[in-house]
Amino acid sequence: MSVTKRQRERLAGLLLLGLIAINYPLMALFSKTVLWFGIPALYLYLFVFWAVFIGLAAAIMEKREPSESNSKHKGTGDSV
Amino acid sequence: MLHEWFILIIAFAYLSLLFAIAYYGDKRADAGRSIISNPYIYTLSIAVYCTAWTFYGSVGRAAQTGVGFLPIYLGPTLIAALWCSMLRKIVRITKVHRITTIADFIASRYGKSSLMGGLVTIIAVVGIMPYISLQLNAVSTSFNVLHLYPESASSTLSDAPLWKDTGLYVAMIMAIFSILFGTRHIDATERHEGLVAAIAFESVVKLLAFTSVGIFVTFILFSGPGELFKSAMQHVELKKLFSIEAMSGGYTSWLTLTFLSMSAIMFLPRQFHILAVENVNEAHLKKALWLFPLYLLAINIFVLPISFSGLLHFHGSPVNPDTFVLTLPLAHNQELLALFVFLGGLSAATGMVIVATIALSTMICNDLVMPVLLRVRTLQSEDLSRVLIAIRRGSIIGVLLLGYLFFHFIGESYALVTIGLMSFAAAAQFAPPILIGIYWKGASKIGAMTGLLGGFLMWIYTLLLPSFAKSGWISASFLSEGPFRIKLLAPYALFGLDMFDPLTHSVFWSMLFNIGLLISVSLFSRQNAFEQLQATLFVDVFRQNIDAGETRLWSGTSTVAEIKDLVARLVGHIRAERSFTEYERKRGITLDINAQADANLVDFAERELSGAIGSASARVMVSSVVQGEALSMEGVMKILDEASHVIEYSHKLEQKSRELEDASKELQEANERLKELDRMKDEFVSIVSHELRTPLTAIRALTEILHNNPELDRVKRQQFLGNVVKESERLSRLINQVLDVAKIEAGTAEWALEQVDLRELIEEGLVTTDHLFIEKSVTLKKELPTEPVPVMVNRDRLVQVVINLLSNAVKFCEKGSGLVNIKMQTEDSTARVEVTDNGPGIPALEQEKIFDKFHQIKDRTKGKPMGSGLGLSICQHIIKYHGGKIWVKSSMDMGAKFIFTLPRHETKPD
Repeated sequence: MSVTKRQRERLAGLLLLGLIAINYPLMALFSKTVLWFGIPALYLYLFVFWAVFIGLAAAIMEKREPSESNSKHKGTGDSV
Repeated sequence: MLHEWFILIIAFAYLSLLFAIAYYGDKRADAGRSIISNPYIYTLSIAVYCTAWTFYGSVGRAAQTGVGFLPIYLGPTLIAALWCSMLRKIVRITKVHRITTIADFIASRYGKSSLMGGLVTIIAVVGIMPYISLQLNAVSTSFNVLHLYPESASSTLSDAPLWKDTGLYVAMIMAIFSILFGTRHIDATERHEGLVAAIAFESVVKLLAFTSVGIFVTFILFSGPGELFKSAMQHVELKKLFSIEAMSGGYTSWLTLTFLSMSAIMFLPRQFHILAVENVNEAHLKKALWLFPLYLLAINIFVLPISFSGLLHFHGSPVNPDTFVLTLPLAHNQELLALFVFLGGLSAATGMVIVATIALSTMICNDLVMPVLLRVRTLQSEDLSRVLIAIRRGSIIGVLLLGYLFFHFIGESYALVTIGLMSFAAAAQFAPPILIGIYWKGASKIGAMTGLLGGFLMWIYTLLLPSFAKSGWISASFLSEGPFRIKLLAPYALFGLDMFDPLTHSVFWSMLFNIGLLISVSLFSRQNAFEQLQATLFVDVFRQNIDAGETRLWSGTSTVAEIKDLVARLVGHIRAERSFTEYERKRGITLDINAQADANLVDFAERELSGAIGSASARVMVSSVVQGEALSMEGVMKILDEASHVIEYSHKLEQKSRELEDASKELQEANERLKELDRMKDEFVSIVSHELRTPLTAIRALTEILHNNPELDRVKRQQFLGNVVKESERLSRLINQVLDVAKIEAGTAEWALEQVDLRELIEEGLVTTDHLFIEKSVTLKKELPTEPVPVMVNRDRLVQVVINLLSNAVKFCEKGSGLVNIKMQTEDSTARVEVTDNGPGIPALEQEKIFDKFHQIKDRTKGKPMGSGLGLSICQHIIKYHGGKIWVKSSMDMGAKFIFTLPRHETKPD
């Protein structure tokens, strides 16, 4: 599987970011009864963060690493 | 209003469609053109995570707790970031060891222990029971709502007698479908491609259904989420749901749910089955890692709008929020939409039930029933593959019946999500033995076993028993006052810990016992060799060759035929024949039926059997056929040593590279020396030819004069002829020297040794060089001992050395004022000869090279070498040949002193 060490490290970093963002106390900043763009602040925060998190994960995984010869790795990965 | 039988027909038609998809998927798989081998189908099949709980329960939970439903989906999203490292390792292990279930995985890691497999199976069955009951509950409730609306909307169930209970029929239908999907084949192997295809299709249906109702509610009933939430703001009660405070337990509960869902997405038996066992290609994890969270996001985006819309719409009327997705369309006469939603819910529920019961039935068969069967019955002549299928079918029915009983007697008193969370907490018990087990070799069987048992008992005590109490099976005082009125043992506040909600409380205690016991007992227990071996195989899975072909784990004796027969009994003859042919083809060998099976073949057979009956049972089966020591120590040590081999290898590599560096340095030096020699040779050749030409030119000129002038007077002629003679001598001397060098170099010089007096030799040399001294008017001084100095030498050669040194000394002396001193001393065993001159001396730099062949001292005044540069080199060779030494002492303008020593030869008196 053509996952580089760097990609795994980035994903681990992303996990840490997620654990902090979706938790006390950061969440408490949004936990109030106001509407932002017509949507409760907490709901908006959680869903937007969720989407951003997925976007980042996708960017990390789908980005072609120029230094690694991707096609070669893919070849070995598929045979596994 | 939808008629009962109309709904039934649609439902059956839908299930038949699923079955057709599964059938098609299996056909394609048999033909070798898999339709599920891509990351998108894989992702959709993982979405079996979204069950009726998600479909109906999320809306209900959102109606009570606001964002409280979300951690169940955020947890998997977060942990998906580790799929490329952690889950990939689990998948790889599963493939390499042909793991069939999560029980098989844990049992295999801890020494292929049947006991461990059994324990995991029991935990899984008991733990998942509430979850299955949840699905039955959801399907029967949604069916009732659909055909009885509006009467049934308020209740979850009527108190109908058993035979009229929808739940029972739902359970039976689901059992039939699970059997059809999962255990159609006689060859009971671990993968089901058709099933995965059907599950993926269901995931599409449930997403579409939920999104349709979401769009209907948000954009048709209201003009968008803005208006919806603005209306909600008007209600004090609904406004509360906007903040986290609506969730009982607050952030603690939030954290607990996140943690539970993180472990559930991988360690619920059905998730493990889909993620690891049914995985076609590890590379699919790469895409699933972000596509699956995207699916979760998509299916959750309308939960809050539907929930608020329901709360606003049914404000004041007792409609169960779990049914909002159905009742909202029904209340607006959208019966077809409601029917579609019902199909979505049915998809969600059947998907979960089918995969979960197949996973559980495999566990029950492989890890509970088989180990017992293998011990109790003699299995010599049976075709076991039919027995296997029968056991699995029986366990599917059993599991669903258990689920139904839980649903019938307990499930009614709970909301969907609360029931599901009990199962999550049970599945979380598997996380420590797996995660610690694949990263820490020291985790031992006894440690994992006590940990699991401790965690499971805690779960029973703090979560399952209270649910019995709540439904009236046990007196309610058990909850409030503890058993036997011991307050400290109250199940919701064990040991006085009363600051958490019941779920967090239970997770805390069970995890504390589970992890604590696993680590502490492991630290104080000893693993046997086989446990150590399995631990190494699991932890270092990426360091091993995938085929792991060369392990010599079995050292018993049995024939190929016996092994083949064993495999055929369990997987069926056709499949056995096929896999053995495949084995032969892969290794390029032909198996002789009567030959003794080698370790590799036995290993292969064990893997094949693992696919059918699990690793622990496969081990028992194989050892029943393979007699003798089941596990060779040599094999174990070989694998354990693998890690140290790698280190050793890298050391060797380093050493090699160092040696290479040294060698290349030496080569470079040698090359420099060669270049220098080459340069000297060139110089020598040009000198020698020059030296040869000078006398030759002189001879030619003189003879030409003689030839052309016959009338030349006698005196002149005599003088010319004398010169010719002298030049010829010079010429032959030079040629002789060159020949000498060549001879000595080639080692062909074979000299006759004789005993002579060294003084005699020196005298001889002096006589020969006498004319040189006279010609140049150089004074000679000699100091020789009075006693004879006998040496064993080649006379002529030694004279040559003396002549060489003397003529050299004369050559470098000033005409007239020159002084040469030759002196001989005797020491204990050597004779020492010194030749000193008072010439210009030799620079220190030159002294080192002076004995080198072809080396010549440049005359500082003439800038032209004097002599051939061979004399001293020849001297050195001769002295060395006789076992002596020669060297020079000199400083500029103080003359030079050449010294040589020779061993003395004392004649023994006869």
